[in-house]
Amino acid sequence: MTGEQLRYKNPPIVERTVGVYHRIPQDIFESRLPSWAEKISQEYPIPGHLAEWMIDIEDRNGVPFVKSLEPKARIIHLFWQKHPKNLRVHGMRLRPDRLVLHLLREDKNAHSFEEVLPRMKKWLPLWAEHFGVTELDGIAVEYCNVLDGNLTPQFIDPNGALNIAAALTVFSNFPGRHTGITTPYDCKARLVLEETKPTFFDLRVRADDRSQNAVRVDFVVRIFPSAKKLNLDEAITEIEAGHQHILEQFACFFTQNAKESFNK
Amino acid sequence: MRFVAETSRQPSFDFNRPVTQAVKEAEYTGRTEPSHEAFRDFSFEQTVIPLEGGQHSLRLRKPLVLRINPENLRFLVKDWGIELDCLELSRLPRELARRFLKLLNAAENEDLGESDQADWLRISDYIDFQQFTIDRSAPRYLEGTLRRNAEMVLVEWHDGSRETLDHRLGRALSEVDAGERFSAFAKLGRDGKTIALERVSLLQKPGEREDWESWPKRG
Repeated sequence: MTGEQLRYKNPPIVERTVGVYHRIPQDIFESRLPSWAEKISQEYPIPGHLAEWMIDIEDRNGVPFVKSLEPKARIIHLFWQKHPKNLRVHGMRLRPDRLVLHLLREDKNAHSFEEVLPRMKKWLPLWAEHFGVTELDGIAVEYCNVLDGNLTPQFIDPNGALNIAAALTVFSNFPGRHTGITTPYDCKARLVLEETKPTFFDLRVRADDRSQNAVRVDFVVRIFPSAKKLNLDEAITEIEAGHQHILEQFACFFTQNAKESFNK
Repeated sequence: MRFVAETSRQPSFDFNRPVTQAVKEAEYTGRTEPSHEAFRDFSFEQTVIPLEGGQHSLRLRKPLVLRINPENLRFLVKDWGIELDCLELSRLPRELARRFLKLLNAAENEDLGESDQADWLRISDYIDFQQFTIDRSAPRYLEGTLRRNAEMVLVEWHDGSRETLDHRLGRALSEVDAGERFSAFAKLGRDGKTIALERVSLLQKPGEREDWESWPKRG
């Protein structure tokens, strides 16, 4: 399969991200963050933050236990590019252990990977130089899709329910007698794409609370070479390889009818 | 293709955005009521608080404890007397810096009120004061001779002590030849080691009457 055959005119993608991973010592990260914000301010002038409150719960034989580690709180630093309609489309997120670039959908325009990759090519060496990063632990490429009445009305039944089996192959062959599939959806799985160079594909399907009958379908490819670190050029090559994996998996997880509908 | 269980070498299943998880319906059965305390205290991951736009830092010796009030979704920073809305977590580093600098100023001017005095005592327990003093100290004027600049950068300072500088510091002496004298403004870290060099000048050979004895030692 070539890349061209795996592209669609109107895919239900709402967000694409590419990220590189390396843990920067906290004192370096915090002390250099203000000058980094200044450095990127021409292109990413709108700062923001996310607060993350984390409770670690582990499953022991089906019983949820709060891990002995204390619950944690942390701040994620965001920077957005300006947009003529004041939308948030191109973003950068920083934490001490990663640089992530985001590309969000705007209305009918799902944008493309080719818009985010050049930004990563531009900012990765500058980020690495600024924070003293010489090698990377791995990369991730993530595609978030939404199936709902707005983006994919072709999967909505006359009674208003989402026909998820018509969209996703993993839901189209459930065994046992049934007349339909309904919420809640909350499934995740990890496929090992390559073992020698650990490459994983994560799939997650879950209900999206933001609109009725909406379902989020997330695809993530992670490449973490355990035996060696990546230099910056290798990281870009792996991001491109990760994107190719996403395209191939996208073609496998969406039904033929769904893919044809994404080209209309 | 096969599914494998999570192992330590694999990255955790962690998507790039925080996810709001709401428990709509849950049932609990157990011998005792679950403790609400377990979900009330959060440890703040950031232990380095930037000051003056990142020029200096406040390093905490232990993580801060944020106690959430589920009634109003605000949190209180234990021992620091700071209260914020949970959605305003990003303001916390600035508020910590402001609280510390205000109390520091009041303490230096012996102007601490009774409750501030108690807060200051508790807050002092979190602060790495030695590092804070080093970070805030003004650079000192020093003179020395560059002894070696190939492979390693070796400097003999005016008091006769010798120091090997790392490459980052060595770059500041790139215009100085081996054997040549120079002056510079240096910041000294723990154990008197040089951590920053700036305003480097080249000096003439020492005069016969130059008196180093009256100069303070480096460390």
